[in-house]
Amino acid sequence: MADVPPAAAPPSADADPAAAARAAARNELDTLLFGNFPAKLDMAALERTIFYGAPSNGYRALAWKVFIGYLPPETAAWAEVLAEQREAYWGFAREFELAPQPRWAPSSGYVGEPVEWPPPRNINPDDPDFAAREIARRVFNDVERTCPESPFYQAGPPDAEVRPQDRKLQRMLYTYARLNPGIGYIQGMSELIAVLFYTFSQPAPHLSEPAPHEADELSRLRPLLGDDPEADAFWCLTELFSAIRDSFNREMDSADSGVMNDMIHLNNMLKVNDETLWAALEDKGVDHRFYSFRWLTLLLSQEFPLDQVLRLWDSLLADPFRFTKKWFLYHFSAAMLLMLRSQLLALEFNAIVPLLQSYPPELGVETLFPLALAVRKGRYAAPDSYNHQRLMEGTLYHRVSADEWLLQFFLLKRSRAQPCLRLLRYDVDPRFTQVSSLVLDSNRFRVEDVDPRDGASLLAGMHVFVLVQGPKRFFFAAPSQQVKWQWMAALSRAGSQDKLGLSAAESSSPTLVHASTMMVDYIDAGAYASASHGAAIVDPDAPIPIDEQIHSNVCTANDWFELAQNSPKRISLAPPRNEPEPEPEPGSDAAPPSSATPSAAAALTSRLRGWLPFSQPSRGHV
Amino acid sequence: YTVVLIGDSAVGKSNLLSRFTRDEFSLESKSTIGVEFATRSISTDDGKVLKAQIWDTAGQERYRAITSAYYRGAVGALLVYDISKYETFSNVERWLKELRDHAENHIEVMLVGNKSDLRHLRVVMTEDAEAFAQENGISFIETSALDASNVEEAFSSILTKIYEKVSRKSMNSDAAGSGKTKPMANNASKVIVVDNENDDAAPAKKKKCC
Repeated sequence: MADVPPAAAPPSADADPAAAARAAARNELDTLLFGNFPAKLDMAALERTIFYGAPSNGYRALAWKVFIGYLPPETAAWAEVLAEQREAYWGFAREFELAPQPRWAPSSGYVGEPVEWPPPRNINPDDPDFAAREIARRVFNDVERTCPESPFYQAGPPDAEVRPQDRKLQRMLYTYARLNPGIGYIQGMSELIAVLFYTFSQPAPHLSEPAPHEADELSRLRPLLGDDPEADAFWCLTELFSAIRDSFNREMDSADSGVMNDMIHLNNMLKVNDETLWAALEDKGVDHRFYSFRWLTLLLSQEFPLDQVLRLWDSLLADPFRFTKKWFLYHFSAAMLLMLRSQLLALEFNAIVPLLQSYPPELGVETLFPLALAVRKGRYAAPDSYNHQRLMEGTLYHRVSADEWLLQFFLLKRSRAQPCLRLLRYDVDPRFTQVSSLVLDSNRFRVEDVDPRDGASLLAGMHVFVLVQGPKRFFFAAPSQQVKWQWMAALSRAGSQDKLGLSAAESSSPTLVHASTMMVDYIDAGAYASASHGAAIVDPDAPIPIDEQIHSNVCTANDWFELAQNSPKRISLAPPRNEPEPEPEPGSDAAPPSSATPSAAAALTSRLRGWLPFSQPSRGHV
Repeated sequence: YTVVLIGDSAVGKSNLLSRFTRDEFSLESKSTIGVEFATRSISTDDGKVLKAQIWDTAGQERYRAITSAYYRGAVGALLVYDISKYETFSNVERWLKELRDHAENHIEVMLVGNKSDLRHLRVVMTEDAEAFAQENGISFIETSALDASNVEEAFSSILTKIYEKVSRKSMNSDAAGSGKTKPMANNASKVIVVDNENDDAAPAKKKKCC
């Protein structure tokens, strides 16, 4: 169910939604990173793109190095930086491993035995290198139990005393502790560097192969980029730690930048967003430190599987507010609490603490992401709060975008645990002049007589598609940029105007445009965001099972845009007064779309078209 | 009852907990950052059900500022060392001091020599640990989270001791006419701790002198 079955997919690579989405994202990044090989990277654009998820590990590795500050935005300096830093790392690593007691006088050479891996269980307290060997032993202890479920780190001959990748982690951490005696080795560092090193070690064929006609300088640089993951990870840990080390420093616990303050900051964020939940947790004695300490110090790396951590770190590192109190880390952590609202309200202390200390695996990073974004934008409203009511009513005044609708819906659905088949049903009359009702199936929430221009404001939201068939209109929202790419790719694959039944659209055709039952199913599975990628036209009365219809009738977003463009009279579409941003800025407050005028429909639709990653609509029939 | 697991890093605290609460053991369980939490109930000989909340704490120095917050409500502590690493035993004294500084003074402490399955690597002798425990008036046991030996015993023994201590206190407080008895509530035991200090401080010694 996760992908359209191969049988239904045309042979061309473009037709594979996931591949097309990756290609679209790559093109964008190639332009940002390598297009004409800019002397200075457009950091804002790079941040905006990676914030929603890097398309592959190669780009991820490169972008992280830039965000962390290891590589400067000035690309001309890269070759030199890489060469220098890598040489420096290997110099330190060799020196410290060979001579636990560094001798600064060049003539004295090294004294003492090299550190052993694995280090002995018991170190002679009289050993002059006791301190160094003790560091090695602690590092060894922790690296051995880092990422136990990752095949990358667990690989190696079964009889090996030290696994090969672990050996590298140990060398990096030991070198770091020796080079930074004021910090030393602190538990948890191994988890952070494991994420960095894993990312930097992944092959990146797309990055290493020079494109035809590219600048010589770039061709020379490419093979360098992924060359020495160990040295790169070491320096990135150093940079990362210089930004967050106060969280690890016991002396700094109570300082502004210390971890106590960070935890209080998160707790306050929860209070601001959902005072009911905050008060309930206080009431039950669930001290916020019980869960937030590990979340914040280890940048959530222990709360999700490694592949999801990488996706999450894309957002964390690409955040222009990284390492500050406005960091997405806090919004995401708050979202993790808000997502569990109903459980946290219902359960008792003994169940809550384990729940938060081992986050439910069915709630992945992609599921939490839209909620975290809403928190960031100050758009979250607790389901039973006054604000929530206002948010719902806000639709009337163009204050709410469709992804927020989806989010609210999702929360309501979770909190009431009612099954439902449709996301949102948007019923309009056949002439698009009046929206008669807006129905949330799961909780029978109903807004009567919605202003028709809401349709336009919803459309002006970045992630919305509307599917049209007969008198019924369904829309759904993509929860993230990444997913939008996937959907658009999928939607462009198939279908045509005919398929949407436009000729018969105004008739009372029984055909239904179905906003993907699959998608709803995947919401239940907690994985809807990554697994769903389309919408299908299905006919409930047809003798073909609905599942099969979904597979063979994926309809197209391009068709919808075409429809909107060709039928301006019938669709009351208009751009909002304020230009919506083509890419929602992380951290920006989306300007509320405002009143609509029918005449501007064409302008809007052409802008919608401009967002598509494809220049021409693909017309391939399934 | 709240019981904390303390001791140097990598002595097997998390595995003792998972063995006791879930009967699980993993050679490669992750290092504990901050604290982790689990619960289990056991029944005493007289049919009473004791509900235990167990906090598993991080071993490294850096985390003590955070973990000491969890000592506060604790009525019991398992102080764990690794019989194959001498340093973890020499640090036991520091951990005891940590407890005295941060925990309630009537806290029931048990010294636990873990990894007893590593016989061939043993560097801490049972007698030494026993002597140390007696000197400090705490109980002692050797366990192995790996082969499960004595894990159940360690936890149920400390829980039973806590239970006995609390019921004794409530009886005493009844006798003293200090009002309503709440044998299960932590605050009841807190209130009267000063009165009973002498009875409880060194049960081992008391037995001897009697």
